Amino acid sequence: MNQKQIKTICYAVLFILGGLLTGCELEEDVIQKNAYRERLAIRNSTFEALSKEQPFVQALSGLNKGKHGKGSFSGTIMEAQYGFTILPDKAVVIEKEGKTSYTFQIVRETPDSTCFENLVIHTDNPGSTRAFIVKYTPEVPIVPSVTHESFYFSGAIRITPIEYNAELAGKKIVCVTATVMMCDQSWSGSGSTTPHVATQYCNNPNHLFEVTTTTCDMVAGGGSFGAGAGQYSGGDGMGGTGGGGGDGEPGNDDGLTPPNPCPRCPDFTTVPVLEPSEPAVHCDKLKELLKSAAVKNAIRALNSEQVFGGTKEKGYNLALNPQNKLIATEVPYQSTGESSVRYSQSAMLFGGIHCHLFSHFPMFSHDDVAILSGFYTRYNYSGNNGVPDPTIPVHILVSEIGVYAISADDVESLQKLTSIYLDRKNKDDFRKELENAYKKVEKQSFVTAESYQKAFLEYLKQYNLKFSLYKADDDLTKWTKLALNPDSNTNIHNSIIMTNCN
Amino acid sequence: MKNILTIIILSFLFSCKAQTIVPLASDSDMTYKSGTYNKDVDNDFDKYVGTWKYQQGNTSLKIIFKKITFDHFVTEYKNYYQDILVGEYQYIENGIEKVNTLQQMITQPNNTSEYNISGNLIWTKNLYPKCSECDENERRIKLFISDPLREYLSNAIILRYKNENGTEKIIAKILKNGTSFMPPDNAPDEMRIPYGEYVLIKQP
Repeated sequence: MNQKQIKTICYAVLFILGGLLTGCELEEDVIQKNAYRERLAIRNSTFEALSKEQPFVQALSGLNKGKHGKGSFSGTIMEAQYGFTILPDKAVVIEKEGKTSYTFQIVRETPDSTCFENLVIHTDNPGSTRAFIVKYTPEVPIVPSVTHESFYFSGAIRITPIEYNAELAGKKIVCVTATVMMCDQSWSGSGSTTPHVATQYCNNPNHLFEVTTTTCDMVAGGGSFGAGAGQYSGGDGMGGTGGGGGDGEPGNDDGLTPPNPCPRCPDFTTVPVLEPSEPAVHCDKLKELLKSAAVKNAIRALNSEQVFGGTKEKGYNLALNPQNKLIATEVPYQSTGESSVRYSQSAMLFGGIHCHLFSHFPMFSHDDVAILSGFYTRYNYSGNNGVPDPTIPVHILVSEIGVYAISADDVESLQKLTSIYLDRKNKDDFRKELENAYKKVEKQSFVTAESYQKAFLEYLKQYNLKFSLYKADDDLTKWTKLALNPDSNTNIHNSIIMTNCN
Repeated sequence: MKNILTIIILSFLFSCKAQTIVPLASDSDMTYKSGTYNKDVDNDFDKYVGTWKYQQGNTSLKIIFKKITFDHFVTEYKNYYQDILVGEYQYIENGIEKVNTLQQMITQPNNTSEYNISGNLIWTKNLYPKCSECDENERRIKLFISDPLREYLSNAIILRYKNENGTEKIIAKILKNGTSFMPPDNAPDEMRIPYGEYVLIKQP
């Protein structure tokens, strides 16, 4: 065997060894991940879907035993006794070490805008079921992200065990341990690893971590944790905060002090569930527009490459006829131009839809904003008993980057807009500010719809104009409100907050 | 005497407010922001200064441009300085004068926005209206143009300078700068100068 052959054999052996080692490592990694996944799984669901799953039906009937319809959420004892309603459209199911928790957002008749609440239904392996109300009070504004279906949260938590036995409620001290799953996996495309609420999309187990809180109270518990922009009192995330008793006085007769950690306390695992909702003034109106076949057809007629590549813009007048029926009539060809659409002057007109050609900036122009004050002053408000309402006028834009709508939030903004346009100095500045902003976007190497949205929203903010911007989905079934992300920690990568209209 | 001198010096120092110079052709986030001087550092406006005329038969368009430097723009929203190109015009159609605002070049309005043509946007090749003949880095100027009897209209004039064999020309495109509008009842929806492209020659 010559030296060359020995060398070749050595390389081959080294290669095989390397492969084996890597293989082992990979295998170990897979085993670890599988083991973790066996212990923990997070998935989204809905009440309707869960009602077809036997374990959930059993858990629910365990809670409703002997009182209400089996597996029914309509008018459960919990809701009646604790005065809340479950939002059925989103549930988060967490399976961990043979135990399962189902978390829903709940709402109350008199909502408290400073917090949100969840109902957690927890089942142990043997089949015993308990339920808890978890109240989250954010210390900094919630910053949601539709792309990751998550949000940053920093604030206080308060746990109320559901207690059916009225005699025991308020008389017995109750300690509860809540384990809240968090995630520091990079947000989609953003590269940010700021901890946020875990979702089914946090698919790398190495980035999942727990924040636990054990609290005792006569009727409830309280503690605090957080993630995201604020600090969270969970150390490295694996430890838990000691309880604190919240606002409740422990004052127990038997002198029980909450142990920390608390091995005998009921415990459950959950994630905060907050359905992104936009109770904004415009959502109902915008949804009504998309229910109208006339409006949908108008948008679809404008939303085509052929129209965007044409030589003249096109548009539709939005009006309510004397029978209060929504109508969308096409702006006559002679009233349109290469960069203009002249809307009707009818007093029934409350808004308009128009498109921008490929050659134009694909976002609202300054005059597209200003025309809202024109709609406001001309409209007869026949559908509103003749009472002017600044939130009714709406302007819709169809362009290559989507279908957008703007509407004023208050009358002051419309008045301000009118005064800007009455003063040529302000008007000139108002116009060139937006054109300059779009010009800058166009010069970017990678132009996105978000770049235009941001430029437009920053422009409105600069003049302190309270107008809301919405974007319709591709199927024209729902609207999403777009707003600037106020969180300086995250807005570099995630400049726009998207909030769905329910 | 010494005290007076100290007071004068101090007053002078406190009255000096630093202005951040922002080149108008730049993509700075500071453009048109308070505390800035939006300056025509490359002298893009200079070549447009003067009297220009388009002539076709009995129809003509005459425009006079003037550059104003360090114009103080102050409103309730903004407070900045700027270099700005302003102008006035006369349009004659088939021998009939349709509009003439040239008098304002003599009377000189109190603020630059009162000129019927004014602005300082530096426009590039691919911005609307696109300029296929323009060189890649060629700069055009976008100004706002008003018809004093039809102030409700938003119009713009895009200027492109050309020197052809020693003849200085401006290719000017006048257009609606909306893009949507709703004029008063029965009001005309066009300026008295027809929208379109005009080639103006520099006048001696």
